[in-house]
Amino acid sequence: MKSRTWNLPPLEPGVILPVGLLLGVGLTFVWSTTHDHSGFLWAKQLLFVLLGLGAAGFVMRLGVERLVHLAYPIYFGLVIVLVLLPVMGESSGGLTQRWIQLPFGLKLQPSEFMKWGLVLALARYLQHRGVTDTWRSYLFPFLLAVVPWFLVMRQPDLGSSLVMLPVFVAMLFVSGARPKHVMSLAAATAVLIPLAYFSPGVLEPYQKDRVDAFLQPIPSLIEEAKALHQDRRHEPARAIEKQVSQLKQGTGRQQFYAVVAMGSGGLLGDGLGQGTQNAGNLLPVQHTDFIFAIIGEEWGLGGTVLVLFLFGSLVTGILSVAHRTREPFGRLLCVGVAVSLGMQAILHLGINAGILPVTGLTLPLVSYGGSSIVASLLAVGCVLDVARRKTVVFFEQ
Amino acid sequence: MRQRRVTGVFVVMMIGLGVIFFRVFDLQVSGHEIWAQESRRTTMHFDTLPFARGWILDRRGVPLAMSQQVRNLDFRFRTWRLQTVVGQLAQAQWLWDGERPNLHEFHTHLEGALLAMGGRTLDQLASVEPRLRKADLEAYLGWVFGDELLQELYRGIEDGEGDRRLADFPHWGKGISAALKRGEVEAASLARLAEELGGTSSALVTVMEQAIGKIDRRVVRVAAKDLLEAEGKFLSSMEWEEPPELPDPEASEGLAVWRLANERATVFNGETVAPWFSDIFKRERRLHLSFDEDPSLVLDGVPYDAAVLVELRQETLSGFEVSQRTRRVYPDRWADVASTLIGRVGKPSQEDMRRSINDRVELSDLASLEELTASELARYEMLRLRTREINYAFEEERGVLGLEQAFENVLRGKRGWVAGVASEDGISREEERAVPEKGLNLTLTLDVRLQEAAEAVLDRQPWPGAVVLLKPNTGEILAMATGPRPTRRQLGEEYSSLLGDSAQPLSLRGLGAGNLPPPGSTFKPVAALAGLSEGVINARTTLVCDGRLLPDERGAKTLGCLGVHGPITVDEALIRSCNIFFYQVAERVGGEHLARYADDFGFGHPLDLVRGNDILHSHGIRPGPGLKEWVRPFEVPVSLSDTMRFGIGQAPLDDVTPVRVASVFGSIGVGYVKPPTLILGIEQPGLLPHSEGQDLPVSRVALDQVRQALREVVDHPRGTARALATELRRGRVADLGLTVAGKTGTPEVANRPDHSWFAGYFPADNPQIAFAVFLEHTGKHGGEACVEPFVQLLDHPLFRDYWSRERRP
Repeated sequence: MKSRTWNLPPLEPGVILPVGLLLGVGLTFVWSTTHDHSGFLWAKQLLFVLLGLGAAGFVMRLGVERLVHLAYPIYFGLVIVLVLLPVMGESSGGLTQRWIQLPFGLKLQPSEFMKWGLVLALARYLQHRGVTDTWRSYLFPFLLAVVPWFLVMRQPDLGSSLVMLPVFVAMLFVSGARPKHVMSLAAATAVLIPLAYFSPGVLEPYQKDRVDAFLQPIPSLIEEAKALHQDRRHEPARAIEKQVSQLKQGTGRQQFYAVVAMGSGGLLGDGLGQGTQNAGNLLPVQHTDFIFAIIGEEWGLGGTVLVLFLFGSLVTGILSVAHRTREPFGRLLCVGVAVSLGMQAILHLGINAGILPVTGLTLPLVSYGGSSIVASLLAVGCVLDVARRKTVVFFEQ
Repeated sequence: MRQRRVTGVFVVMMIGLGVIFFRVFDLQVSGHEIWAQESRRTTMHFDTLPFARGWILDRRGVPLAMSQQVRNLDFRFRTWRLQTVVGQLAQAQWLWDGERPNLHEFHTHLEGALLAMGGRTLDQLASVEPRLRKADLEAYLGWVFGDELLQELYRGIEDGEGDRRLADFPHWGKGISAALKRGEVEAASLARLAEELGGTSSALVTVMEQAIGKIDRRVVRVAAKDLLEAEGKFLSSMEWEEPPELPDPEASEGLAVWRLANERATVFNGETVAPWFSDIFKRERRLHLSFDEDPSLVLDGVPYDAAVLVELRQETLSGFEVSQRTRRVYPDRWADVASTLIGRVGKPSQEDMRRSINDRVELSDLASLEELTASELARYEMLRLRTREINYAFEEERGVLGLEQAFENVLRGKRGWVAGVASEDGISREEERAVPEKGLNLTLTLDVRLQEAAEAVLDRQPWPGAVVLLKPNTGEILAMATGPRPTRRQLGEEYSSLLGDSAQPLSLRGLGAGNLPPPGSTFKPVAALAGLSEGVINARTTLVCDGRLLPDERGAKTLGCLGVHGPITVDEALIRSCNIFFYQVAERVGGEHLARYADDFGFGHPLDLVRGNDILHSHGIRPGPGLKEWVRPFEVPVSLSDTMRFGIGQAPLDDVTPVRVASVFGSIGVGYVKPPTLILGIEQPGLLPHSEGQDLPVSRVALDQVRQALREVVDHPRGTARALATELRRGRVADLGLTVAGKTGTPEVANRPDHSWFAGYFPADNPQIAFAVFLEHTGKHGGEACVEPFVQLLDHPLFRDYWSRERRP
């Protein structure tokens, strides 16, 4: 059963290549978005990448078979950190508590690692055949998912908690849950989300503002005003423009500028470091939550399609590992990682493109942020380790 | 089975990425143009570059009005509020209580104000409504007392310690000492700045309070307007019978609207708060944000040291900024000379500002069109130029009186601008730039020495009046003095009361003031020339004056003379100013002919201020209104009585100006008419072409006859200006060796004392200067009232200076 050795097949190119290119794009745009006001951030990002690669190497060295045993300890350790976060955490602006202060001015964001911990724990539990045959059998995996989900939601980090939902559903689905169960779960989620919006106390007021802003989108109002102007009906157009300028003062403005940045990029973009929205620093967190918009502005459709293609290949690569492996833990792990990276990317891209409401969410492997980079590379490391042991079975069924 | 499920997950993920792809394609390819345009609009930022106003110079190039770069101290409320401890604390208290606190107290007793904050409880904090206001308040508390305390407060609220006071939390002491330390440094900087500005801290704080109050009033005014509209809708839906009264937003400071909304909310919804209640705060907050972006001018002409201090201590003097502007200045030496003629600058009018705003709105309408017609494109380009370079900005100067106003379009330059990509601290990447254009310099025909001499003389007279000196061979006005006239200082500080003064201290009497005089006997030389040229009299024609004359006309009144002159020739009639003689001349010449002669001499013509309009047009300039000659065309006399009165320069020949009278005498002296002018050149002297002289339609013989008579008015023992001859021969001005030809006038005014004239030219045989001295309602004969001021003028050192240097051999 123990067959760990260093002369294994080469690293999975379908995973390595997109990851490497995404990291490159990320470093390039962290430089582009920050070099003129906070010059050392891209160097820090480089450090994080190296740290992340080291961590990935460490995980591979550790081997998936040990990770299986470590899955629950890692999961519960992270849950404890999240529980303690309000006491030991740093806050930003008195509203959110997401970080733990580390030495050398570094900050740790546990919720980024929690996603990975959840994937491990779920894979560990769901690898056994038939654990989800009855409704009652969902209780434990549900608890596994709901505890970190609640803790992350309470920070509040809506983005990370939104990623956890599809990860949970997808892993249940792949582990062999009955389609009707998965369907009912999806339907319940569809009901719960509006319910969460309307019931008091679930969403922070600023999060509600963001949803409101999304429901009354500035871009469509601007297009409406434009159309009126073309008909030479300036008066009503002005009335709409007044409304737009009022909305721009509110929460809608971030997304509005993101859409403007993307749209103004056109086919080829303004050129690296030349984006006007970027240079104007109009997007408050352009190197993290709105990096895709800046890629769209500076590299145009070429850049956005490149990022889409790279994430597509990455998801394809990881899922193809899941597809061919015959080992349930590895497969579930790969599915969890693919969905967590892919869904986070889709959410980030959707927010940047103005089709999803704003929640603070990084683009994995690309956005600035130590915790995000290191956690993502750790997950990739696991996948790579699974990939080179296609036939190994760790646990007897 | 499991593998198919993995494929299922794959398909779902690909669908997600595919949706994103279509959206991105739609944004970046189909919608590219709209968003590119929007991107330019949101990121392009303009900074204007101030222009210098053109100078006003006298004929020798002595500057009478200049343009100067000055440093202004601006106050940015928003920066101050966010970055100084006093600003943060004041804002926190305002958010908490809804009342603008007294800044003076904060500056003098910061510790007391901080400690007072500590007495408040968490319950009080939690009860602040609406949410946005509370969030703001918490943010400001965090900035004043530090994040640690804020975290403790949050925890306290969560733990339900509502009755705990702020001062009971562990980090309170640390927070307050840090705030005090910051406050001390800031107070020291403020004191230092006040010292550099030559005042006290408390005076500076008062100025800051005024600036903040101004922003507040604007916010309240706009918010009240919005509220009225919102109320209108709300009331109609509630079907109220009588709309409740709204208080005057101007009368109530601060958060009048806020309270009003509060009252309405409880009225309408009982206990609960109306949903739009929080909208009011949002709106008001937004207005504050948008209004306090604009700097409020605190002081202009800040000394260099103060400007440097503000730059060096940016950290502790947050909110203060130094900006460069140009300002009109009048050099001290000549500041009071021709003050009302030069005029003054003031703020742009409301009309200017309205035009400016309308242009901007129209421009933005046109800018949002995808396809413009040719005419729309032309209009767009014109509006673009106008809004960027030409339209008045609030802080700019505009001529509002005198030449400053009349030549506004010449003197005003064009703003420059920089366009580039905006960032928080201004323009981060410059893309386009237009250099400001200085206004054109205006060179006047005035000689500042003669102007000051004439004004000095007028100031000594007990009556208001005017003195005009001009060059008869060119028509250039050398001096156009008005007495009395406000000083430059009065023009600046008491302008509004001067405007309303019934004595019209701002009017230019050289161009005719409220009481437009008839020329009186100064018209008689023209009547004589008409008679002689028409051949109805000659040098030897003798007419009899028996002191009175009844026109041969039904209903006519008897016309009188000053004396009984007996048989009299034209020479003697001019010398002794006999009315009866000229009544008869006028009768013989006839009303129409006489009016034609008056017209040829320029009576009733407006002053030709800007000869060579072509030159102005080539600069794209049209002279504006403002400096007008108070003149209207005279009526051609029809009845015999009118014709006869016309002959001695009474109604219907009315409304003449001292400039015109001086010009008429100059024309007699040189033999041709040059329209009087005040402008020697624009940008360069001599740029304006001299107009052609127009020959007088009178015979040479007649002209010599009248010139001789005009000399005799001074030299003859019975001449009406004989007092002058004594001075010229033996008196104060004997050393000048001047000969003067002239004519006095004493026009009658209904129900008020007579005016006095003395006009003529000198030297009599080689006229170099034509003059007119006019005094209002003296009740004295022209020779008595006006000769003395004329002698004083000749005797004035500045006149002597001019004459010794400029006289032609």
